[in-house]
Amino acid sequence: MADFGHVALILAYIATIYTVFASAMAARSGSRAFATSARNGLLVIATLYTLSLVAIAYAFITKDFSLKIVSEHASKDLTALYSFSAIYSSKAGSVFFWGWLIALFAAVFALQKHDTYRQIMPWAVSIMSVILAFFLALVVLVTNIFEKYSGPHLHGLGMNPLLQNFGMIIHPPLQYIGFAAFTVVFAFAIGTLIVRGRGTEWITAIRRWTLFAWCTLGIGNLVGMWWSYNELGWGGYWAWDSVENAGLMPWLLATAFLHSIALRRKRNYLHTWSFALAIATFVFILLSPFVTHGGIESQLHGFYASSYVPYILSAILITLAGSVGLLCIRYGYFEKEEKPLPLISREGAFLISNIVFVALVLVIVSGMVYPEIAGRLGENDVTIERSYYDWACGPIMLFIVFFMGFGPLLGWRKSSWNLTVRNLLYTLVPAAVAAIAILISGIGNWYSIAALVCGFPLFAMCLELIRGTMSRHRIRSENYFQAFFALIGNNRPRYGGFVAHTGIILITLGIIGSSFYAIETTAALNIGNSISAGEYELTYDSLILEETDLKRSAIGTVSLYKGGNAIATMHPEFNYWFAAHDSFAESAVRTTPAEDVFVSLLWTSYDPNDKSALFRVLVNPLVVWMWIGGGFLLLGGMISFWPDRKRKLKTEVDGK
Amino acid sequence: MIVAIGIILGVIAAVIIGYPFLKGTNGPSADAGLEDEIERQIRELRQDSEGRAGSD
Repeated sequence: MADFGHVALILAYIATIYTVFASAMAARSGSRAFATSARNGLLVIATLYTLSLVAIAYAFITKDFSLKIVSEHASKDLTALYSFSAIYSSKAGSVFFWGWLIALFAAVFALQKHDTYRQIMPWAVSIMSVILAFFLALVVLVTNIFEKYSGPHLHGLGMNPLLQNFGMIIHPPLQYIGFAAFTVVFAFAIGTLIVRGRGTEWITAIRRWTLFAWCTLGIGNLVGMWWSYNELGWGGYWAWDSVENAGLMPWLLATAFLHSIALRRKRNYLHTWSFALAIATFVFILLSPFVTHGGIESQLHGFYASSYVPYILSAILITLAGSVGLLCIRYGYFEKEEKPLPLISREGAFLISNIVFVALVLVIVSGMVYPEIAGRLGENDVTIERSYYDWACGPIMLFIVFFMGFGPLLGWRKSSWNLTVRNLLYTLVPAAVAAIAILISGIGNWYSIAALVCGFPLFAMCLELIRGTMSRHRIRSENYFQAFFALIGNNRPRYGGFVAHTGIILITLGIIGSSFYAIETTAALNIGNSISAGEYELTYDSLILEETDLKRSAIGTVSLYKGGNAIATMHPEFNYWFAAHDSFAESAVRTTPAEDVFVSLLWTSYDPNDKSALFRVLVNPLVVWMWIGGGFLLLGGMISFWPDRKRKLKTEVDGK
Repeated sequence: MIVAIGIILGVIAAVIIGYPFLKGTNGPSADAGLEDEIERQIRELRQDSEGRAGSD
């Protein structure tokens, strides 16, 4: 089966080389035969690649330790689900899996658009094929994912215990899905640039793909945070580590791009800027594997000292030089189409938010790159502390959330001052009043800021929804319920955006609460001892020691009290994994809407006669709202993504 | 065995990829280019009118 997969992969690589050639021929000569052949090439690549993935998945699930990759990343006792996720827990496997998604999406995109965009598609297919050829070269030529192994690890070295968590089954695929989907967007944008595509046609072609990529990247980042929070035992979810930043930056740029194409689609602004953002997002997507494969130092996790690093760096530089060069060449051509944008308007709000997103990415990337550059210049031990990111990025992020309130309140083209001031009275004033009330009541200064920053956009969206619903109710005599849903249904992109913005507001609340009001206590306890954390008291009741083939476990029982009443029993664990020769804490978390109580068993001796243990207890306010916010983000994306009924009908009629 | 499977897979792939040439849709045509341009312009006009009609 493995040999079959290897053959399929080599054939996929050969087909990719042909598709690069065929699509280039189609693009240059306009030949439909070459264009169709290139499209078929993508279908063949996707099929062969899928066969190869099935073969490697089969090898992992059946524990075929004759393959090096299986021997190094799986073990006999690994469940089928974790065996599958072990594929992308390896260096070569992650690139292989990502490449497969690109092949799949490229084929779907080619099928969708082949007949519609006859000028752009050959170029887009050509670019997608080149990208695919690069990924396939990494797993076929640079390393061989089907390499045989005959060493002594008969039962496999096993998977990192920290990765044996539900979050890590879905976090990497979500990131790769987002990256691969945006690859299609990038290819189409470059194709449009090459053929000097004007108008909004190209945006219609890639809007849904962008939304899909943006949504999966956003959810992927959140799932990564959830994993970090629940699995790593430190009680936090974001450490501004290079690997985390590398996942966040493409999402931030994709967010800017999504807003930019929304404006382009509605009002014909920001043509060149949209192309620039598509390029920037893709370059930062390529930066992500560069970081995770060890190109930039990371404290948390990643594939260290990967042989892929120089190739990925070359790909970044070539993409950057080629795309920016092309954009510069075309700038003069598109410049005629650009028109001055009124700042005090909804268009202006879109532009400002775009600029702020880009500024945020520049601040983050500066923090990542500076120690590397300083190191190369001979300055040793230069590190960027977490406080740099907190103080440089925190205010920018708060500004972005606050600024979300202006967009819905401002009109297109030019807003009248009277209307703007009246809108601000309805929204900014109640938010400010709530903030002052919180400040006076002494709940907390940061909660007061949260009320202002989150309250303003929330009130602005509510005002727009109420106005829209009332107006439909008045004009069309619909009841309020009907009017509300008809309003949303008739402009899904806009109101899907509102739902996604609500998600961002909830995530911001969660971040503010848990960043500024967390209470942390660490103490060594004997059975029967208690520890206090805020309003809570925890009593260490017992410790059970267990041993399986995989691990030695110490399972604690801790009673949680609030106001003298027992409210929960929690079971944090401390596990020694034999294959990894290392111990990891498995935290216990009690979640309520107001706060999480997070208990981590950091150390115990596994001695039945000495059950003393070291505990870390955290009370993290509002954390759950971050995960709920993720749900809103997904829902908003789905609402925007959903086909418009009117347009669907129109297409059907046109089709007839 | 594996070589035989490889050859079979390769032949199937080659047939799928080469099919457009076998079908005889070879070569560009001036009409096709014109058709593309007209299609493009119609789509642009339609989208622009939709954009203007949109409430947002």
